[in-house]
Amino acid sequence: MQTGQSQKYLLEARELIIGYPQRTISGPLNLHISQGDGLGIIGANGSGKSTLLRTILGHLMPVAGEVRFLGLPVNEDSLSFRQLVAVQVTDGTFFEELTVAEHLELVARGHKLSSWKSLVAEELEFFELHLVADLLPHELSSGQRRKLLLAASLIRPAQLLILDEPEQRLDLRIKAKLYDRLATLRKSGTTVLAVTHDPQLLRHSLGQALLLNEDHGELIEAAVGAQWLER
Amino acid sequence: MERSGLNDNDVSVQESEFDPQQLILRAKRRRNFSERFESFSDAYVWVLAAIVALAYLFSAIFGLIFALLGQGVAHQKMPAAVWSLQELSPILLALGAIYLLRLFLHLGPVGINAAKADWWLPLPLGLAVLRSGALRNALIVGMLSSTFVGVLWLIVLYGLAGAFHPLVAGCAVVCFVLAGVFIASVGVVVQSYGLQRLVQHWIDGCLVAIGALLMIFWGLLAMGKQWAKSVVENVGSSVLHLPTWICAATVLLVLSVIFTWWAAQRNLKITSRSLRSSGEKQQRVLGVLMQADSRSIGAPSATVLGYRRRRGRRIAANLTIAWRILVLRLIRGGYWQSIAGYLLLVLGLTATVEQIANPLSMLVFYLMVGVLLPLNLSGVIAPMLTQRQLTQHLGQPSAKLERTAALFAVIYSVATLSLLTGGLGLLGVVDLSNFWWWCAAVFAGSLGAAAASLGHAQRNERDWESLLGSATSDTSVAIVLYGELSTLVRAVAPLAPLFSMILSPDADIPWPLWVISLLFTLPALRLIVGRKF
Repeated sequence: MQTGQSQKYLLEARELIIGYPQRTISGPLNLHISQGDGLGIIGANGSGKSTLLRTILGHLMPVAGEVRFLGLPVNEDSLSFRQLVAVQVTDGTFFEELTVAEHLELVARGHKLSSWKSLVAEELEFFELHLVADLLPHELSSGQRRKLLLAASLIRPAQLLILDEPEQRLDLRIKAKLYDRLATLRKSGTTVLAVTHDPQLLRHSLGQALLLNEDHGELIEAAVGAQWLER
Repeated sequence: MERSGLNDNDVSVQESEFDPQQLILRAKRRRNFSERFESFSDAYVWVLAAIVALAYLFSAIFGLIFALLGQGVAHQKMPAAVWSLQELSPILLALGAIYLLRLFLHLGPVGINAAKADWWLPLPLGLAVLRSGALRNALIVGMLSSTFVGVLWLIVLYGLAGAFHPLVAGCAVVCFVLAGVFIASVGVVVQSYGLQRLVQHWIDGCLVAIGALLMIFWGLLAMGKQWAKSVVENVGSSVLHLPTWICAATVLLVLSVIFTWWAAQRNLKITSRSLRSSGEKQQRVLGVLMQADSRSIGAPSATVLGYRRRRGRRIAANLTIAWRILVLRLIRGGYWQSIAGYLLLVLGLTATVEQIANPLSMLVFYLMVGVLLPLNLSGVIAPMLTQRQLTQHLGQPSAKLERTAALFAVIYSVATLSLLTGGLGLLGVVDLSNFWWWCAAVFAGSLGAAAASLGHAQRNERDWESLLGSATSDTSVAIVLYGELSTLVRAVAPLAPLFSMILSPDADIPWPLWVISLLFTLPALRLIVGRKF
C-alpha cells in the first residue's frame, strides 16, 4: 500500500485542535503512536474523548492541525484506510432485516475473508452470542447489541483498532476475555486506541493513557491513568 | 495485519467481489408472508392516506382562492394594491424552486442511512453500488417533491384563472418532473464540491434580489408606469400559454440531462464524511417533518443555529426559571418565526394585492392563525406539561408549571391576535370602531387558542407515523384522528366572536357565540385559576 515519506509512526496527530467551527473542545494535541502500542483516552465528560476519535477517523474535520495514518493524511475514502482500521462506535445502528450472524457475515465477507463461516462462528462463541445468532437486532438486549458491535470490530483484520468505551454494558466475564484478547492483539502488532472509563482496561490491555483536560492533552503511563480514573 | 487473535491461520482473501446489497436483499426476501403483507399494507395505507390528504388539500386550496378573491363579496380598494394574484403566481413558482434547492442543499442531497454508514461504508469494497443507490434516491426525491410543489401551484393557477387546459397542465407537469431532476442534480454537484454553504448564501442573496425586484415593480406600478404594467401582465399570462411550457420543458430537458450526467460523475467524489452527515440530516429532517413541525422546511444553517443558541439571554435573565425556559424555547427554537412570517405575509398580501381586502379573506386569515397558533404554541409549552421529571429538576409542583405554561400561551396568543387585528385595523380592512368588543373577542380567542395548545401539548405524541402506526384498528385510527380534529375545533370555535365582528362589524355579537367561545376556553382558565370547574 502507498504510504507517506516518513512511516515511523502508525498514527500521528500534529498540533491537532478538535471541536467544531464555533467551538473548540481540546488541543493542540501531539500524538505519535507506533505499531503494537495501546493508548487509552481518558478524561471527564465533555473533555472531547469521542470527538478526538471521530477526528482521528476522519468523521470530523480538525479545527486545526492534522492527523496522519501511515504517514498520509487520514482519509476514510481510501481503500487501505478502510482495510487497516477497525472501529467500534458507542451506539451503533443495525440493519433491521439482518440477523446477528448476518451482520458479522457482512463484515467478514466485506473484508474478503475466505473462511468467513468459521470466523463468524468463533466470534459468536467468544461473545456468547451463538444462542441469539439468528435473532434480529431489535430482539437483542442492549448488552447483546454492544457485544455484536465489538464482535464486528474484531472479526476483521486491522492494524489499528479503535474502540469507544468497549467496557460499557459488558458482564465481568466477557470484559475479562475481551481485555485478554486486546492484550494478545497488541503483542501480535495491532495498535489499540480506546476511549475508556475502566481502570482495569488501562492496566491490563493498554500501555499509555492520554488524559484530556479542558484545553490540552497529557500523555501518562497507563497505571497513572488508571489511578486518575479511580480517584 | 491481525484479525481477532482467535485463529489467524484462517485469514485469506477471496477472489470474487462481495456485494452487501445481495445479502440485504436475501434477508428481505426471507421474510415470511405475514411480514411481507404487513409491509405492503403499510405502504398501501400510506399511499391511500396521501391520496385522501391530497384531495382535501386541493379542496382547501380552492376554498382559499375563493376567499382571497372575495367571490360575491365587495372588497376594499387599497391604495397600495397593484398586483393581481395571477400576476404573482410565477413568483410563487420561482420561490418554490429556490426553496426546494435550498432544502436539497441542506439535506445533502446524497446521503446514506446510519446502518449503511456504520456497516457498509467502512468495508474495503468498491462503493459504487452504495453511491449510485444514494444518487438514485436523491433524484427520485427531487422529482417527486418538485412535482408535488408544481401540482399544488398548478391548482392555485387554475383556481385563479378559472379555466383548465389539459395540454398545458400536462406539459407543466413534465416541466416539474424535469425541474426536480435538475434541482437534485445541481444539489449533488454542489455537494461533491463541498460548496453547500456558499451556494446557500447565494440563494439567500437571490431571495433578497427577488424581494427587491418585487418592491421595484410595486413602486413602478404604484406610479402608474404603463410598460411595467404590461411586463407584469405578460409574465402573469404567459404561464397559461402552451409555447411557454414547451420552451421551458426543452431547456429543462437539456439542463437535466447535462446535470444528471455531471452528478453521476461527481457522485464518486463525494466524501464518506459528506455521505454520512447528509444521511444524519435527512433522518433529522424526516423526524421533524413527521412531527408536523414546519420549522424543518426552513432548514437553518449551522451558523444561524449557533447564533440562535446565544440569543435571548438578556431578555430571560430576570425571569423565573419556568418562564425563562418558555421564553428561551420560543426564541432559540425559532418558534416565533412562523407566526411572525405569517403575520407579515397576511399584512403584505392585504396591502398590495387586489381583491384580498375583503371580509372572506379576513375570515380565512383568522381561521388559519387559529390553527397555526395552537400547533406552534404546543411545541413551546409541551415540556412543561409532559415531562414529569421537570418538576423534580426545577423543584416546582406540576400545577405551577402548568399554570405558567397556560399563562404564557394566553399572553402569546393575545399578542399574536392583537398584532393581526391591529395591523388589519391600521390598513383599514377591519373596522375597529367597536374597540372594546374587539378587545373582548381577541381575549376570548386567545384563551381558546391557549386551551387548544394545552390540549395538543398534553397529548405528548405528535409523530404522525407512530400515532397512526400504533393504531391497531379502525377504531383506534378514528380515535387518533378525532383527537387531532378536536384540537382544530377547540382552536377555531373560540374565534367565533371575532368572525362575527369581521362579517358584520356594526351588529352586536350574538350571545350564543360568546357562550360557545367561553366553553372552549375553560381548560385554559382551569389551569390558570388552578382548580377544576
